[in-house]
Amino acid sequence: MRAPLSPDQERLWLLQKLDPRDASFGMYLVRRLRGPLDRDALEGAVADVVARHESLRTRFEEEDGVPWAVAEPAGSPPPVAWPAATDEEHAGRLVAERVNAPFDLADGVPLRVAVIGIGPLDHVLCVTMHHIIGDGWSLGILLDDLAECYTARLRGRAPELAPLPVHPSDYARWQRRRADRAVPYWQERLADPPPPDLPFGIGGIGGGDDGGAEGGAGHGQGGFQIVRVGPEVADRLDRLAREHRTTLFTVLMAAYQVLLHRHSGHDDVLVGTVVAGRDRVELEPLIGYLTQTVVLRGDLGGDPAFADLLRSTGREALTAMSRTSVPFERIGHPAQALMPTVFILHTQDVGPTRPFGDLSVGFFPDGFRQVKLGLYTEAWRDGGGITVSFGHDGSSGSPHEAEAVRRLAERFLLLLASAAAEPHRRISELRVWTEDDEADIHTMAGDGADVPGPTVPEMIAETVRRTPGAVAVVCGDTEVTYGELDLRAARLAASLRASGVRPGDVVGVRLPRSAEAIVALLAVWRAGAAYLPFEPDEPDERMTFSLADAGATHVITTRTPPPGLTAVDPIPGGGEDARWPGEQGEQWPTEQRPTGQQGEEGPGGTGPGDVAYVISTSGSTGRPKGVAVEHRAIAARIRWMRDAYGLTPGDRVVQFASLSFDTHLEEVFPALAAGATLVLLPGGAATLPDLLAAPGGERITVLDLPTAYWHHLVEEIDQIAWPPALRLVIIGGEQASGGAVTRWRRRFGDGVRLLNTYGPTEAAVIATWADLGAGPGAGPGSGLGSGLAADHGVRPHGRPPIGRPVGATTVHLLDAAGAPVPKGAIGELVIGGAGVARGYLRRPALTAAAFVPDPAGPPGARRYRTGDRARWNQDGELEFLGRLDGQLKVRGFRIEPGEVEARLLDHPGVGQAFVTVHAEELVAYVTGTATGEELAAHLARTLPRHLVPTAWVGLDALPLTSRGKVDRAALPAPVRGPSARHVPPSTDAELLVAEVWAELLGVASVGADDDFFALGGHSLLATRIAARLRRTTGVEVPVRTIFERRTVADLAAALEDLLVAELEGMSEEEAERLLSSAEG
Amino acid sequence: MTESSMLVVVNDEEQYSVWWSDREPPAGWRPTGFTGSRQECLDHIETVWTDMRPLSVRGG
Repeated sequence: MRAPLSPDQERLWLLQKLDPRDASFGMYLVRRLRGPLDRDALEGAVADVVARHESLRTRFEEEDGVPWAVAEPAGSPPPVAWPAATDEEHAGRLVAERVNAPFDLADGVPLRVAVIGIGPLDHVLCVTMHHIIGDGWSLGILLDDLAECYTARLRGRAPELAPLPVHPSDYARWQRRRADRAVPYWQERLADPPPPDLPFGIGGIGGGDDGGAEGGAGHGQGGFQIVRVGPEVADRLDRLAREHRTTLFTVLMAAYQVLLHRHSGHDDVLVGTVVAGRDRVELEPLIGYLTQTVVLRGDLGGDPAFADLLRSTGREALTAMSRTSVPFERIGHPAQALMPTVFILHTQDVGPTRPFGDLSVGFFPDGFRQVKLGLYTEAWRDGGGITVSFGHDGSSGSPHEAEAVRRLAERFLLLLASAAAEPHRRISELRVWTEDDEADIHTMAGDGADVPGPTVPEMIAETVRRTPGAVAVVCGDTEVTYGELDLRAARLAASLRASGVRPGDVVGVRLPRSAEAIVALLAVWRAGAAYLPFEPDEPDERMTFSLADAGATHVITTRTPPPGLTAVDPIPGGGEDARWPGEQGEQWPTEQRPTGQQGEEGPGGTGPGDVAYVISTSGSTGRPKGVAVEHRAIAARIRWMRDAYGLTPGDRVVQFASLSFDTHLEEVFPALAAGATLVLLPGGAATLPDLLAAPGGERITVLDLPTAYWHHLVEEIDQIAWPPALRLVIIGGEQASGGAVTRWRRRFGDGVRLLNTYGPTEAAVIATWADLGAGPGAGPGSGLGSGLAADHGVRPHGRPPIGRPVGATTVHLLDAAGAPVPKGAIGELVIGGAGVARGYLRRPALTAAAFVPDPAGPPGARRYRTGDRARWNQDGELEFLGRLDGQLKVRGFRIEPGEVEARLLDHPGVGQAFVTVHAEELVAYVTGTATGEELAAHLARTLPRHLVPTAWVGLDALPLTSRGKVDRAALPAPVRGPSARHVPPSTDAELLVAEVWAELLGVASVGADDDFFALGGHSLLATRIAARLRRTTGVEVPVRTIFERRTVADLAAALEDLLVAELEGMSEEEAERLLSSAEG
Repeated sequence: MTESSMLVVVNDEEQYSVWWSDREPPAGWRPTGFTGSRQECLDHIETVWTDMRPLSVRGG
């Protein structure tokens, strides 16, 4: 006879099928039987119990993917194994082997019975079965029925067991109907689940990173951490339950939810639990899988008192636990999201309630090592106290997970004691962090003390004095020495002063990538002013706004400035005079030799407390805001960078970042302060691979790259001409991929040091750093990172950390109540110390909200609230976890979608607008009549290029969730069509280019006239396209060509030209080899 | 409670910020006397913090 499975059985069947080696669905009954054991009676009793319970005779068949339960007729009991153990310890091992062995559900009835003999009067009963045929309650019944049947056989009587009115197959059919009816309740109740965010990142799937595929699954060792609530606290918890007319379960569940809430910061907390599911008398004596797994959704919002939380938890428990559970698949979200963790209070009796012949029945260690879930917490009464077991599955990937869960268990004990003692306290005020935690917080925060030292202009002046003839800047074929740089800066400073710039002013800089731009930055300082840098093609409107906002009237530019602004030529006098002494190898006339010295006798405006620069950042209200950073702040950073990066005069550092972003400071000034050479990219940042491949590129020693760009380079790691001299790569801007780090390591070993950095503009470029692989000769300052370097062999692949605070910097993670959180918990990353910016120019409220009193700093100190979520991992390193608000990062650019949306809504043809990121692309969803092209042109007038969406989706209306927010899941992915006139690619070169584009741009069909940028191409992809063409044809295709030859046909023609040029320059044999490889 | 009752505080450099009204401000910060919701405090700061330069660098 075959029957359908209950919904819960079906789920288990499926899970087991997905991973047949998974032994975590084993149920087991392990008991020590002391006394004279009658072997025949026991085997007979097993046969009796199996005959009585249909479950114990049920095997599972699959037909067309559908599982069926097939009950064998009574009279075919499983064999009982009788292994002999040499001693107790051996018996323990035999038991552990059995309870940790998986079941193959296709391979007969998933039930095994063994009696392990330790001595003639000492045995261990070990029954194991798959959860699909029996639950925890069933084990009690099994033991009871076995005891009764054994005793009956021993005494020669019939067992006194009432016949079973209902069998599991009846139950399964009935339960299927009940589950169908319960689906709508659960769909509604569990809609829009919060992110799991378990403590210490447990339960994460490799950190949501692609590292798993590259570096192997990050599964560590799971296990159990067991703690005990003493009788005194247990009594108080019982009393608390009685006083609030609820149960101990409710009290423990509420506390467990608070524990999770204090770690994740989420008010919305999902915890699964298990109910017996035997709500009818006839179900009580049944062996079967009847337990129901239900999810309780706790609302911890508004910081309620614990006693008040008990009331709502009690109500929720009553409601949820009276519902029939439904397989998660039918609720429409993955199980991981709906039930990240489970908390169970076991109530069933653990011993047999009937005599077991003449045997005494006791416990025996079961050695169970399987954990079903990231975090699986069980509690049971234990004498006067309560034992709590935290089972964890090793999924955080950290070798220290057990230690972390131990800490978590201790926190739970502290929390229970605190709630029991003071139930009327708000949940944010309950004690949860241990003394060790408090000590960790203090240690990990770092030392914010600033060591006094020279300002950046002073450091550079020192270099000028020391090595005036050394090359400071290389731009294409031009080389500028330190002496020339200084003289040019002096001249331009004089010109600035002559045109009315005063110390303390702000001066705009809008220049292409050039030595003049570097000179301009120094000249502004020399004039005593602060610089406000822009993109060379910054829209006039936005530049005018930012300058006016900063009270600036001057801009150094070669272009005609908008009305109302005074333009200052970067080369005073211009024309032929623009040739600087030294450019032709001239010597400096001694009287002209710059002193460089600024400090005490220099102009005002460059003291430590004066503003050094202003960076315009995206503002959520639709207006950019200017972050003003003082000399003291940037000086502390540059001094630290110069030391930590180990920069020396021999270094050649690429200047990759656009001057409008503060990353440029990290490249330009540590290099100049160290007397190194700065190598510019006049063709734009994306031409870096061209620079590396060109003569001189092999001498580059340091690269500082946006993480997103570095990811793309690593994708084509074998196609990049990595300089042999390269010793240090600094990345930053967004979450680094563990897979990319692994690939990097595979290519470079420890030969090139890889630093991951993090920091907002408001805290002077960077605030934290992590060594992701140190070279052997890491420079000074590496002492901080050396521990990590030793460690990186075992570092989990999942989520490369952003590390620890840099020098003169503190980092705290604060919860919603403003209290610092320790390892394993998530909080807002708040930065204190020397790098904290002055604030947002002319934005008092915004500044006051973001720059707040720092109780950990010196009197009157402020610290910056980043709005970023982070967690201290188990090693005490920071993990970046995204934003608290809607701010986006696209290819390393910080974007407030609100700013873009506000500008879109300015357009009369737009009704609603929503801006988000999809596949490294800024996407705008709009309603209304305006086309994407119109809107892109509209935005380009007021926004810098990185704020203009590159994909446009027109909708009739924005989809909303039941809570009234934009339903991101319901937004269609942007689809890109080929150009209106589709001309199929025809030549071999066109076919090749079209194929590479189609793959890398993710477009189905590419036509010969399609435009790279119109198809969503961007600089990062250009690098990869060049690399791919190089790999296929063997021809060096400059990245610049990808930008300049924007259609398939144009690029194909360029490719053919390059091929011909290459062929002309090579021997017959080489040419033939090349041609044959190009065809392949 | 935490959000509805805040103080406007100021440090020796005459830089403004907000702090919880039920907690002692950190050393170097003093209440200006204005209390209200967080937003009210920020709105107040928008009107009173007119020179955003730290006191020590404000020239004549």
